[in-house]
Amino acid sequence: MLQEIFMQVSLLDIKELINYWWSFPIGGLIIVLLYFFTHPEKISTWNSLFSGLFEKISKSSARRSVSSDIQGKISSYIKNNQSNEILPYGLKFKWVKDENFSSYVEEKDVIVIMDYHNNNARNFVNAIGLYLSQAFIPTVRHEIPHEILTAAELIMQEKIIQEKRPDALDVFRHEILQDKITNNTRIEEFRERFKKLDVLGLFDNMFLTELAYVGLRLEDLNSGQRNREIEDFLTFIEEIPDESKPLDFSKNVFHVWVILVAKQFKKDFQGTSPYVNRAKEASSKKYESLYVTGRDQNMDFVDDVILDIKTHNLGELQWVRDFKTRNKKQKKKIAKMALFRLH
Amino acid sequence: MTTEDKEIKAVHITDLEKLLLKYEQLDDFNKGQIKCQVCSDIVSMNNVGSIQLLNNKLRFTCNKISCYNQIVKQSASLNSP
Repeated sequence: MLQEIFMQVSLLDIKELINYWWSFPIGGLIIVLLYFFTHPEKISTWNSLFSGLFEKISKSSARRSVSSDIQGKISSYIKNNQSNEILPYGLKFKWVKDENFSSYVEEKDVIVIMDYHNNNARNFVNAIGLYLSQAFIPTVRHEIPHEILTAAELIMQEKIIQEKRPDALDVFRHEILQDKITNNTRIEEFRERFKKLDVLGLFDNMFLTELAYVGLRLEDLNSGQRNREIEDFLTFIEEIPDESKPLDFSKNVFHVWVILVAKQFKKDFQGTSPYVNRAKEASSKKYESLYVTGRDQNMDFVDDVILDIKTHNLGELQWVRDFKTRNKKQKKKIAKMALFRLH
Repeated sequence: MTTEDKEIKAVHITDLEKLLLKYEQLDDFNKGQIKCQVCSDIVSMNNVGSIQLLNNKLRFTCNKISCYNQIVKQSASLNSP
């Protein structure tokens, strides 16, 4: 009898042990699948790493390791930076070989030569250049004066490379920048201005966002008027941190109102009403875009202001973002911004 | 990935030789007779940057970013609305 009991206990233990160890791979697989489901841009990255192990023995692995790496980085950049308005397309490689060349390639298509994955820094720079020439604010890029567009593209290219492939920065700075800005001081001037805006977090969050939104209207202006309109708008954004300057801009193309949630006493004594009143004024004066922004200790209060403006149904809330900026003393800060499209 | 993607056509360096053979340019390429469309440097497997199909022949740029950008710019302006 004792023997039978002992056997039963042992069998139960063994069965439990098997169930216990078996749950690990199943559990692990579920976790991995969940991870890729919530981070689809990572699939390309892992695909690239895996393919890279076999690139010397398999041509398709060689191609896949290059394309997956670059595609994954672009997807990740767009997702992390919520850049859908500015970069509305992802990137996809179409590998061309001798057997499919004539069916895939048209006259004058530029076909980039990609090296092995271990030279992917240069591959990345080449691919990003070609990608941005098609995908960067695509619906309005043809209306933007050449120097302004080139300068903006250079900033965007550098941002993507810095975030996703910093080992390619040398190639970018020594070859691309040198090529573009040599003998063209206007491009370099705009680039410097865009860089400063980017440090404040206003280059893509405001300048490019508005350009993508209303830039098509530039086609109604002649060349001189387009330059003036964009430069004046750029100057307006540059002066935003100076609270003594006007916080609204309305000319031929851009109609923007900015609310700086900044005054501590207003929060303490008047709550959100002064800001909601400003939003109502912007709406009554037919401004199209309302940016509400604040930073540091005001971040929670900015949320309150945004919610209150939303409750008053003055416009469609497009997004709310946290971003990095600097104060007047160039100290790094975190800021919050919301964009409303007014009715 | 966004719902729509911009396509970049690419040739892996290991596939270039077969392509050159298809367009009967492998000999010229190996003899150093193919030059960059922009800067006229001799193009080889070590420095080839991009190719285009023009009048049923392959045209090349070297891997200098300036040359590559020039061709991209020309192609973009040709394809603009």
